[in-house]
Amino acid sequence: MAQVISIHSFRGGTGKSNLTANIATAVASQGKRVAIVDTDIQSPGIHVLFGLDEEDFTHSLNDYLWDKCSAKDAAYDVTAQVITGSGTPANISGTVYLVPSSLKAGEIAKILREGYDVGLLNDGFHDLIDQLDLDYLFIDTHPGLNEETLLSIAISDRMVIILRPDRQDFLGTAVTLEVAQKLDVPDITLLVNKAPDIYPRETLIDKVQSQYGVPVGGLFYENDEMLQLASGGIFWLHHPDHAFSQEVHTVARQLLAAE
Amino acid sequence: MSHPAHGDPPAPRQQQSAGAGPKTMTDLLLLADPERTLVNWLVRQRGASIAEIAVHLGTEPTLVQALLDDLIAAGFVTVDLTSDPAVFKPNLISRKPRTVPDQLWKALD
Ligand SMILES: Nc1ncnc2c1ncn2[C@@H]1O[C@H](COP(=O)(O)OP(=O)(O)OP(=O)(O)O)[C@@H](O)[C@H]1O
Ligand SMILES: [Mg+2]
Repeated sequence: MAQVISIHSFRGGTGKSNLTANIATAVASQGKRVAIVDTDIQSPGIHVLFGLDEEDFTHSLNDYLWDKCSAKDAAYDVTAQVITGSGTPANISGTVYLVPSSLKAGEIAKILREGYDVGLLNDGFHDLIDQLDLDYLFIDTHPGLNEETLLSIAISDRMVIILRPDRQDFLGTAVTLEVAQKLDVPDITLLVNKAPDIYPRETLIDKVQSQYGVPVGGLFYENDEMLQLASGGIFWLHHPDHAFSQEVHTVARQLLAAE
Repeated sequence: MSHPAHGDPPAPRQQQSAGAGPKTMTDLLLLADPERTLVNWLVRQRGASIAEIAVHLGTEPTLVQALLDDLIAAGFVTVDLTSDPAVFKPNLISRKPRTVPDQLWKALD
């Protein structure tokens, strides 16, 4: 059975899109077939990490929700676009698909104004799983708790919540967890990102785990290489030996083990 | 409490006879248990028959019917009578369409 995994954070800029792209690609590098759906309809962006721009796609998630195309038509095989730091193809043994969200202002406005049927989005996800023979479907989301994020929480088998070691993130994560529990999410994992290197790893993990009673699946330190890459690619392929990259693979292995 | 009118032509998605739906995710969050748990489960299942729901809940089908009738009346669930057995589906929308045209949105169209 394919798993639907949604990635959330209460506040913006925690690293959702970068971690989603990195973890999904790491899972694909283990021979798995994965898709990433950009459900951040208000502020799409994850396609940038795969070197795509607006002209590279004719269909988007919006078109599917307006019945202009099938879900599969809006899924782009980006495996060949996944490149290493030296610009050569990464030779991923699995497959990575991306379903982008529209970048046209009018289309963003229309979907936010009119809404869409929850069942239709869910059916689209399952069409993708069936027709693309997926092992994993990752959902990148808009930060905070709006109607769209609530629904991606409601339809996922597993939820990953990303937080920074910051008081505002801590408060927001508690709220997000409360909502996730109300929506009966079967499995929840926390990822701590952008940790300043003054914090010892075990201390921080223990602190977060005991605060929320939810397992911490990974801890990522803030680093200059990530800032320099500036969402210009998949980090672990640019810096394979970096501690951040090793942690990406650790999280990917956990997902694979939970299959 | 309104019962689904058997024999009525099935209405298309989002236009069921029960006037209260579709509901939003926020409405779902505010729903009490055990209704909320059932709708959550129906969302993940993408619909189920009475028999399947009864097995899942470990309850009598007649009790399940009563629970579903309430949810249909409240607008959270629709029933697809074209399939046999009938399939109960969540009736949720990401947002309620705005009734008043908004100048900003209009300007962007
Ligand atoms: N561990 C890290 N160290 C340094 N910079 C990081 C780290 N993780 C992410 N970043 C940077 O933080 C910025 C935000 O990352 P990203 O876009 O992935 O976050 P997001 O949660 O998807 O944001 P949004 O909420 O706007 O969707 C990017 O510039 C990214 O390069
Ligand atoms: Mg993002």
